Amino acid sequence: MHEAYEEICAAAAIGEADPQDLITLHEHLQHCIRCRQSYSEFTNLVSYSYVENPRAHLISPEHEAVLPNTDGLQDRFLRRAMEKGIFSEKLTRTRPLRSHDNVWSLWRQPSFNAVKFGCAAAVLALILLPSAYEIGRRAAIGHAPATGAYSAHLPRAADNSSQNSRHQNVALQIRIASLEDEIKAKDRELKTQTQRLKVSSENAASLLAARELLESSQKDLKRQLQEADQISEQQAREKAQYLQEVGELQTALNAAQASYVADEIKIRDLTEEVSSTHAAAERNAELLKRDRDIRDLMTARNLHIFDVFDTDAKGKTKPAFGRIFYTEGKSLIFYAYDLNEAKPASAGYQYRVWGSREAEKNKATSLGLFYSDDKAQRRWVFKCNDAKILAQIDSVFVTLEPNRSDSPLPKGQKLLDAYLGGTANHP
Amino acid sequence: MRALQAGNGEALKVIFDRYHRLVLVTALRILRDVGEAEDLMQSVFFEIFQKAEQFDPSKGTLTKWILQYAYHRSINRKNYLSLRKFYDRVDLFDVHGEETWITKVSLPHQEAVRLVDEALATLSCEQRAVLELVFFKDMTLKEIAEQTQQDFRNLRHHYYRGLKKLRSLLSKNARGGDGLALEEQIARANA
Repeated sequence: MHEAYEEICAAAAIGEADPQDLITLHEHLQHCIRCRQSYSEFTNLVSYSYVENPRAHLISPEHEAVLPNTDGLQDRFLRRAMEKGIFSEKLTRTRPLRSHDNVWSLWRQPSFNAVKFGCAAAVLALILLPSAYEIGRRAAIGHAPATGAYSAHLPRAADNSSQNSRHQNVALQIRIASLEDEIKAKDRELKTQTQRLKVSSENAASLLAARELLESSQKDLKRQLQEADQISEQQAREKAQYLQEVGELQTALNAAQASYVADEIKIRDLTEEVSSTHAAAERNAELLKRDRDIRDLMTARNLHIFDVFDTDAKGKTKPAFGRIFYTEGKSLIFYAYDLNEAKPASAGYQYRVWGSREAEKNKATSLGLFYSDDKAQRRWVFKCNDAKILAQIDSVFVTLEPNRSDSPLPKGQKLLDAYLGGTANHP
Repeated sequence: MRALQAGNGEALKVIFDRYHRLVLVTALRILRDVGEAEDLMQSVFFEIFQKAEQFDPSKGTLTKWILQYAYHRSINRKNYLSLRKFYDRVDLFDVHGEETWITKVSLPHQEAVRLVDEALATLSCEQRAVLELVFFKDMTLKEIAEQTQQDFRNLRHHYYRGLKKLRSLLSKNARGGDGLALEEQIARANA
C-alpha cells in the first residue's frame, strides 16, 4: 500500500502528481510517518539534483526573451518590501550619485519613481483629455461612448496599475493564507506543549508524593535507629557488668583452684604419711606377729628342729639343704637354702612340699609351694599351720613340679626328704 | 549574508539584484507562467530575508541555498495551482511558508553530487534516461512521454523506481547537521 503512495510522493516532488492523487496523498500523510519520510526524502533528493545541475545556474536565450524588464521587477519587489516594512521610503529613494551616473542610470533608480509616476500621469492626461472632451460632448448629445474603440486607446500605464493591484491582492491573500497556517501550526504546538506540561505536572505530583512517603519512612527508620542505639547501649552496659562478674568469678575460681591444688598437695602428703604410717603399723604388726610366732616357736615344748641334706651317689653332700621347725600338732616351718633356681625360673617349674607317712610311701599329700623368703640369702620358706594335715604325716620332702600341675602325686625327684618322728628337741 | 542575517534591508536589495533573475528562471521553468513566476520570486526573497540565519556557508554556496528555496517553493506553487484548477481547497500545500512534510536536512553538496552520480550509474537505462531528462533537461513526464513515444504510466513508473533507488543510496550515506543519519533526523523531526 505504501508503494502506491510513494509513487505519488515521487510525482509530487516534481509537481507532476494528479490533483486527485494530491488530495489522497495529503490525507494519507496526516497519519503515515513512513510516507511522510518518503515525501520528504524525495523532495530533498529532487531539489539537490536540480541545484547541482549546472543548467540551473544558467539563463538560456529562450528564457532571457520572456523575462520581464529588470527595472519593473525591482520596482514591484521594492514596493512590496516597503509594504512589509523591510525597506523604508528614504532607503528606497536615496542613493549617492556616482561619477558615471547618466540620465538613464538615474532614471532607473527607485528614487525617481515619483518622477516616473508624475510623467506617466501627465502623459495619461494628455491622451485622455481629448477623449474625455469627446465623451462629454457625445454624452451631451446622447451618444454612449464606444468602449471597444476607446478601450483600444487605453494607455499601457492603466494596464500596469491594474496588474500591480492584482499582484498585490494575490500577494495579500497568499500572505493571509500563510499567516493562518502559521496560526494553525502554533495552535498544534501549543496543544503539544500543554499536553507535555500536563504530563510533567502529573509526574511532579507523583514525585512529591513519593518524596513525602520516603521522608515518612526516613523518620520511622531514624526512630527505630535511636531505639536500637538505646538497646545497644543497654546491652553494652549489661555486657560490661557481666564481664566484671565473670572476672570476679574467674578470680574466685582461680583462688579456689589454687586452694584446691594446695589442698590436693596437702591431702597427698597426708595420704602418703598415712600410708607410710599404716605400712609401718603393718610392719610392726607383722613384726609383732613374727615375734609372737618366733616366741611361740622358740618356747614350744614339742619342737623339732631338723637340718636336712641331700647326698649324691658317692655320698657327697649337695649344696641344697633345709632346716625344719616342726611343732607337733601345730605348725611346720620348712626353710630351704641354695635351691637350684635356674630351672624353676626358665622352665616354668616350682618347688612343692609333700607330706607322707613312712608306712605309706606310695601316698603323698601336697602341702604347698616353697616361696622365696630372702633372695640375698637364697632362702626359701614353706609354712603350714593346719594341725589336721600335720597329724596325717610323719615325713616331708620336696620335688620340682611343673607350674599349674594338679597331679595328686609327685612326679619330680625327691629332695630334702625329712622324717618328722623322733624325740622333740625341746620337750 | 551577515548583514542580511542582522536584518539589514539594504543587504536584501543587493542579494535581490544579484539573484532575482536566476530565481525567476527557476520558477519559470517549473510554473511556465511569468506572472506566477514573478510572484513566487518575490516570496522567495522575502522568505530568505526572514530565514537568513539558517544559511550555513559550510554546507554550500548562497547560490545553491537560494536555488533550493526557489525550487521547493516552485514545486509547491505548481501543486497548489494544480489543485486550484480542480478544487476549492487550496490549503493543502503551503504555497508561501514552510512545506508541512519537508524536513530540512543539510547534506554537504560535494557529498550529494558524488552520491547522486554514483546512484545514477546503478540505475537501469530507462530509469536513468527519465531522471536525466527530468533533472537536467527541465522536461515534464508528459513531454518526455510524447518525445519518446512511451506510455505515460510506464514512464512515470520508471521515474519512481529510479528516484527510489537514488533515495535508498542517499539515505544510507547522508548525515544530518547534527551527525544523525538522514532517516534518523527525519524521524526525530516528525516525532
